[in-house]
Amino acid sequence: MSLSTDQPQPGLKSCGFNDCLDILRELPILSGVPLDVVKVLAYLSGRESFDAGEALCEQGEALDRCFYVLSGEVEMARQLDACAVGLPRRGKGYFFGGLGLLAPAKALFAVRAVTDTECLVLTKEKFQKTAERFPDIWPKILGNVVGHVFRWEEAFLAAHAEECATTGEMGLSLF
Amino acid sequence: MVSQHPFIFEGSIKDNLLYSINARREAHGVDGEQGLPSLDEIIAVVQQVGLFADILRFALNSVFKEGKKEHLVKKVVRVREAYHAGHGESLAGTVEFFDPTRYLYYSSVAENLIFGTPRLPEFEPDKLTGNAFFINFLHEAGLKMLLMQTGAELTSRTVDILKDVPSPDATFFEQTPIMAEEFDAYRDLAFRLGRVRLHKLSPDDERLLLTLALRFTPGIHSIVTLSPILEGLLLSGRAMFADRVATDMPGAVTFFRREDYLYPMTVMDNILFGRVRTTSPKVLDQIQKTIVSLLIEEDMLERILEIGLDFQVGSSGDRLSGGQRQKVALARAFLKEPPILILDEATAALDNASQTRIQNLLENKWRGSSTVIAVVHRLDTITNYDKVAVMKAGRIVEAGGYAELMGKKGMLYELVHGSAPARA
Repeated sequence: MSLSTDQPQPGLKSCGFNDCLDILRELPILSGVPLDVVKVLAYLSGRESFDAGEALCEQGEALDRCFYVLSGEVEMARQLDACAVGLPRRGKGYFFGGLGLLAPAKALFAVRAVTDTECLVLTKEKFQKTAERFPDIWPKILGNVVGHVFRWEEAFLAAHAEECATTGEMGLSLF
Repeated sequence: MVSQHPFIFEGSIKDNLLYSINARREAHGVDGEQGLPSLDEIIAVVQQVGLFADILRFALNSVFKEGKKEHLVKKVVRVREAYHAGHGESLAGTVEFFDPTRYLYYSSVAENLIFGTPRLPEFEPDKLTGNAFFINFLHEAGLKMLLMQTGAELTSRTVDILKDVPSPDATFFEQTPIMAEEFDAYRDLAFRLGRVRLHKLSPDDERLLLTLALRFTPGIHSIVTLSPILEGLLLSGRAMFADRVATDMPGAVTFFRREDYLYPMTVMDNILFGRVRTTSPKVLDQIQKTIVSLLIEEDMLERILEIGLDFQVGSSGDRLSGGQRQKVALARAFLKEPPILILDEATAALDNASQTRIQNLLENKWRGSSTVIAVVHRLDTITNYDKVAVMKAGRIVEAGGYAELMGKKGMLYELVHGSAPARA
């Protein structure tokens, strides 16, 4: 008889270790990172609840955690001078904050829970402690970030070709 | 004078706060209550320097001795009732209340079984595996082998995850019941578990497995999930254990009962009568604010704060943080209301919000009544001083009003802007 399963418990809104591991293994930023290291990151991740209206992160504050939305919905907003620019809402499966794990960064957006939201959260401190102990993962992660930048800019250039040609504001991938 | 590393002596916070006033009273041959500030005056100053929340926390973390403070104990139980009646429902997601019919996911297996506070040392959670009465109970309740199996699973999972982590520090042991210093022993045990069946393990290995299982807290140690079967058996075991203790060892445990004060627990735990599910500072702050409002309603806040003021700070204040020591020293100086106040980097250990609070206090409350001489390195705090003197190599090289010196674009300007002004 198995006493332990990875089924959620009624009194404990649980994301079991195996669920957590499955989620992290699918994240593009961790693509190619050895399973043993992803296991450690999954183990160090925790679940956090946010009430509707509560901020997951505020614009301008240190981005020191990454989030994966397990349930609920979040919205992003950027304050520009006196007006707030709303951005699309995201739901289950949305991941953000990965870049903040890699180096000091401040959030360019505020992210708030629109409904009661559950997230899987990994702190920068725990990520960095793991990465210090497994330095071989850095080239993989760097490669994933560079790949993401190129893909993003390619899609952006395709969608905003005329605008980019007019303003000349392009070329992040040339950094 | 308040220095960067102020003089704090062994005694209570109150003793330290009244030190300067008592020295002055002694010098003037004053005795009795004359010249001493009232409790309200002390609380007001404590609030001004930002020490109120610390003192309240010390008070709420106090443990009363049985038979002492009986009147207060009854009031705490009343606050508990008011707290549950007014906030129980809204806090259900945040606090796991002690309910005899429910499993506590944020308490250990041992705490779930005992469901009370031990009055005998052998019933302390870390002593249970050496307690023959308890082990016999586990066996008869049909729990011993199941818990050993849970212990084996916790061992295998933890060792599998952490076995290749070089020099894992305490962070890597926050989500497992295995402690850092025990890891090697459990790694060896994991190796043996692959070769020996559970019922053939040595008594020492059995003890190691039970130790882990009894520490297992599903809300924290998510590497293993508590099955509904084991949860049900543990709840039945809780009732059976209470019956056993009542029959065979009456008085060994004080069981959780809503109407009783739990002497071995803190005032805060007595009011909450449950375990907080989160470590989020925002949630904890909200809970504390709710408790403060209830203490005010029950006319208990002053009495509770008096308990906090009796907190023993330890040798040279080593039970206080650097910021708390500076706040105590500032409050001590403010209570004395001296005609001249010298601050030598007196807020250097405080966070930005506390520094701003003290600065506002100096600029508003003290302006016109005392002379404040402050030695500072943080130049954003000096803008409203009447006179600023810039020192270099032990000599004053520039002095005057802040605006005047900045207008001269001399040494102060250079310090504020980090460089000399550009010359035309």
